Parts: sequence; C-alpha cells; structure tokens
Amino acid sequence: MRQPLVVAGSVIALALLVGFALYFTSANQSAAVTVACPVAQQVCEFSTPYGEARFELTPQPPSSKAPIAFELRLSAEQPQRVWIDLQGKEMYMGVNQTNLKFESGSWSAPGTLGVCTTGTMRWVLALILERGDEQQIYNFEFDAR
Amino acid sequence: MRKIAPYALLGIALFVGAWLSFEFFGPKTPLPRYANASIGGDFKLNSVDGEQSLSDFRGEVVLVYFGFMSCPDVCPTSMAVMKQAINQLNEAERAKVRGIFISVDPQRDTVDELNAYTQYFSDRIFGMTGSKEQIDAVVKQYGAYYKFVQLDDSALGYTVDHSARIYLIDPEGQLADILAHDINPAELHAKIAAYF
Repeated sequence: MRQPLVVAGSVIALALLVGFALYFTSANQSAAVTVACPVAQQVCEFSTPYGEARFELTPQPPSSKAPIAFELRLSAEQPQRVWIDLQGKEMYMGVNQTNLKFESGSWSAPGTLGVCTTGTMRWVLALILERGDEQQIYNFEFDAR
Repeated sequence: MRKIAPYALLGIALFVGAWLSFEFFGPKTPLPRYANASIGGDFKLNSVDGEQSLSDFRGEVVLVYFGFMSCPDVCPTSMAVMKQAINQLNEAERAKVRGIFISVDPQRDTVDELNAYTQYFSDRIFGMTGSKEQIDAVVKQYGAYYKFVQLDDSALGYTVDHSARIYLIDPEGQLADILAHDINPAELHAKIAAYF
C-alpha cells in the first residue's frame, strides 16, 4: 500500500520540478515587466540589470499625427541592442518596431505610431533590452490618437 | 504490460506537470518578436493596366503605401511627400522610381478612380487594389493594418483606420526601410537617390 503512494508522490514532485525548471529557464531569457509610469506624460525611471533607466517619449502626449522621439539612458553597462515594439492593447495593429541607436551615452531613434485611427487607442509600448540570449522587456501603456 | 504502466504514468505526469506550471506561472501575454526583417515580398494586385506584380517593377525603387481615397489628411500628406521627393530627382532617375498607393477600400476605390487620384499627385505614382483576400494577404505580408470604422453621423458611412507608413523597396524587390508617412521630402529623396 505504501509503495504506490511513494511512487505517485515522487512522480508528482518530479513533474513539478521539471515544470518549474522549464518556466524559470524561459523566464530568464525574456521576462515582461509592466512599468506603472505614465510614459505619455512624464519621463519614466525604473531599475534594470543595466542600472537605473530613464526613458522618455517626445512630444508628450504622443500622437499618430507627429513623429515620436524615443530616448533611453542606462546608468551602468549597456545592452547589445535596444528596440521598441508598439502594439494595440486590445487589437493587433500591424508590425511597428524601431531599433534604437547608441550615441553619446543614450539609446535613441525617431519613430511613429504608424497608424491613422479615428478614435483614441490604448497602446502598449514594449522596450526591449537584449544581450546575447538574455532579453528584458519593459511594457508601458498610454492612450493616443 | 505491468512493467510499462509506471513509465507511461511517469510520462503523463511529467507532461501534465510542465503544462500546469506554464499555465499558472508562465507569461500571460505574447512576448514581442522582432519581425521587421521578415516582412515584405512580392504581391499581385489590380491596376488600371490590369493585374500587376511588384516583381514587374524590378530594377526600380518602389514606395508602397496603404491607404484609401476618402482618407481626409494622412493619405494626401503621404502622397504629397512622395511627390515632392520624386520631383527632386532628375528625369532619368524619376523613370526608375514608382510609388504604389494600395487602396484597402476596393468597395469605393475603383482602379480607374485610383489612377486619377494618384496621377493628380505624380505621374510616377500608381494605384492598385484587389479583392479583400488579396488585400489582406498583402497587408499581412507587410505587417500593415486596416480596419473599417462605421461613421453614424457622416455621409461617408464609414472610414478606415490604417497603417500610415511608406515602405521603401529596393531595385531587387526587397524591403529596404519603413518610413514615417510624414518623413521630410528631402530625407525621402536622399533615401531614393542613394540607389542611383
């Protein structure tokens, strides 16, 4: 009677261990963090593995009618690549991605919302920092039209 | 049979455990994937000259834009930018540049009307459209977007939310750049002239 219980318990423990191991392996490579900062209204500061980050969009608030300048400053080491993915919160809005260039101590690039919309839309801006296989994703939400 | 059962049980438990861990603790929203490198490519649509493909214009620099003729401001602005950039080229260069305005509203925009609309801006800009299936395929291929929006208080009946970008295609037919619809004409001219 005891032997089947021991086997069952061992199997369940092993299964959970494998599941957690797979999850944490995946999480180390790309974890999305939502930054609770109104990026359309202010400069956002947050912590990253590359030190303190200062991220800014101009103009504020952003609009589909005008170009947007993205700028990121990191206080410590620099990642190998920084890029931005803009997507509708409620709906797929096509591919809208911008590579940022590192110059004079900051990552920057011009971009646009790239979509002409009738009403105000909720956007998710994913700021992605990459080095090798490691990827950190910081999500910001804002409204624009 | 009795010897196989524990191994089968172990396999099932491992699968269920891994699935449950991902389901309850894994990421809840799809993570972004860098897709700019995989978009673009050949397409076939209708123009006033019949069915034409992007590959028919191999050797030319092509500017592709998705819009619709009833678009009040963004589309005319984009066409004006393309016109100004093309007009800064010399005659030989102009002959090797083509703007393509793809209408995502084929219900209202016929190829004849599209031709008149685009030629108003430049004789180097051409209109194309197709069936919903054809348009959806090209829109997906280029990572673009459009959506019909009902207008209750307008004689138009509906408008179209749409991508507002200029896709720069090199003479080999490859997507070279994705540009803002209101890019400075001088900057767009420089990007085109770099191929001559």
